[in-house]
Amino acid sequence: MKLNKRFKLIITALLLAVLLLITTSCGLFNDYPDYYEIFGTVFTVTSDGGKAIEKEVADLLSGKESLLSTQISSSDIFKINAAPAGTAVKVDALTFSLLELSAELYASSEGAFNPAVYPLVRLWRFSPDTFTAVSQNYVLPSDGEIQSLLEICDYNDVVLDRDALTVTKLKEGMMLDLGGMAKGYAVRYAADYYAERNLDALVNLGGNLCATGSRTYTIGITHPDAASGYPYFAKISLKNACVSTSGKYQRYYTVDGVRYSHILARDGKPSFSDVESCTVISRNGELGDALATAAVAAGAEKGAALIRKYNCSAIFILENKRYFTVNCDEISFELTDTEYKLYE
Amino acid sequence: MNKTVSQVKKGKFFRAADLILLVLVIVSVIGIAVSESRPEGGTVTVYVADRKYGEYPTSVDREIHIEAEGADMIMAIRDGAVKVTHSNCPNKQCTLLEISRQGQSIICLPNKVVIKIQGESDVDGVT
Repeated sequence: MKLNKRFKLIITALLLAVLLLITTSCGLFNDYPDYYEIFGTVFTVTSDGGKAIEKEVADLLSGKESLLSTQISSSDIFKINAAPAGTAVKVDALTFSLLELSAELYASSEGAFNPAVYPLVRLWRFSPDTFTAVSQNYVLPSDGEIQSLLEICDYNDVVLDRDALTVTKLKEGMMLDLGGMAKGYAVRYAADYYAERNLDALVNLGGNLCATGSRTYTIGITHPDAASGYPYFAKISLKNACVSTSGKYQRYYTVDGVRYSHILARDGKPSFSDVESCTVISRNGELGDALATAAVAAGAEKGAALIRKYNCSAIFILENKRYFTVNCDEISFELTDTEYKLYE
Repeated sequence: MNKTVSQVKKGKFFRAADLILLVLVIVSVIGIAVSESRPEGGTVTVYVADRKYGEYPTSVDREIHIEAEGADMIMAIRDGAVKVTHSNCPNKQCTLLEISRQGQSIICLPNKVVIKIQGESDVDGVT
């Protein structure tokens, strides 16, 4: 009799545990969202760390957005952009470090990565407050408009004072934008947060990912043709590293059958380089993000040289269904769309 | 029959416990069945502000008008693929994507709309 009673009590306890598991996995008692909106895109985490830590990280990243966004009126970047020329604008150490890295990349990429190109981004209507994807009877900017704005898009006309942590624009109307590296930085920061707590995690901010821990993740590279029918272009492995992709297909509009994409080249016009997209794997998220952007602007040859210079890995998708990789010996690469051929 | 007080009490306890046990078993079985069940074939689910708006098979070509919580969008299903053909959001970033496989999703942030094809993806993330 006693055995039977104990048995029943154990079964009851087990079933209650099962019920609890089902209800929590169904989200009945789940107050946390499935994703967070940060830097204008979707932030998610795959980790055993739990939803509370995910929220902590999301809140911290929102804080970074408040420093770096061009759209938030209290941000460092907004203040720099609103300030008159000659004014030394004091900024946070983080903002300064990213602006310094940008200066190095502006030089090494010969201007392909340019944080001062924002006036042209707005002229071409690719900023968050001007962009709309629908093709329209849109009058494209004239060469005259482009030329006059190019004069205030030289990042060398920005003075950075490391001791004072100030940023001074030398020409009126200059505007900065760290959009080419901010999300890459954010995922690196988020992954470090998990790493410091000895937690494995894969963080994802709008397609910028960072993995920390001993696990190897499988990441799909977006196919440049949305209507291809393939779920991805290829699959790659990611372990303890960050990955970012810059692609012409990410933000564009069509006018008179021509696609104009958000990545601008040195001539101040949307890039018509041979690169459709560039995926960069690096240890430093902000660096990888910036290199990916630079590679699409600069073209395959210069882009590949730049990535080699910084010892990162990359997958280039070119026009005409060609692709090639840089430094991918340690990365497993599986092509999904086999119509693409390796470019020698 | 002569039952002692303790024996009667024991009898009542066992009956009540059996009943509770039975209920728990039934509820658990139903719970497991519901949480384990996956819709047949390709199914796309639309959520608006975290609430399920509708569920549609991807095998049937149609247009769905998503109208809720300020969202005004048209989702088109054709040849097993799903895309947003119209949206009242400012950037219309959501109109640039097309999904057709399990686990893929289109999210319109301003409208809080999530369009997801049910099932597990074979990758951990997409760049």
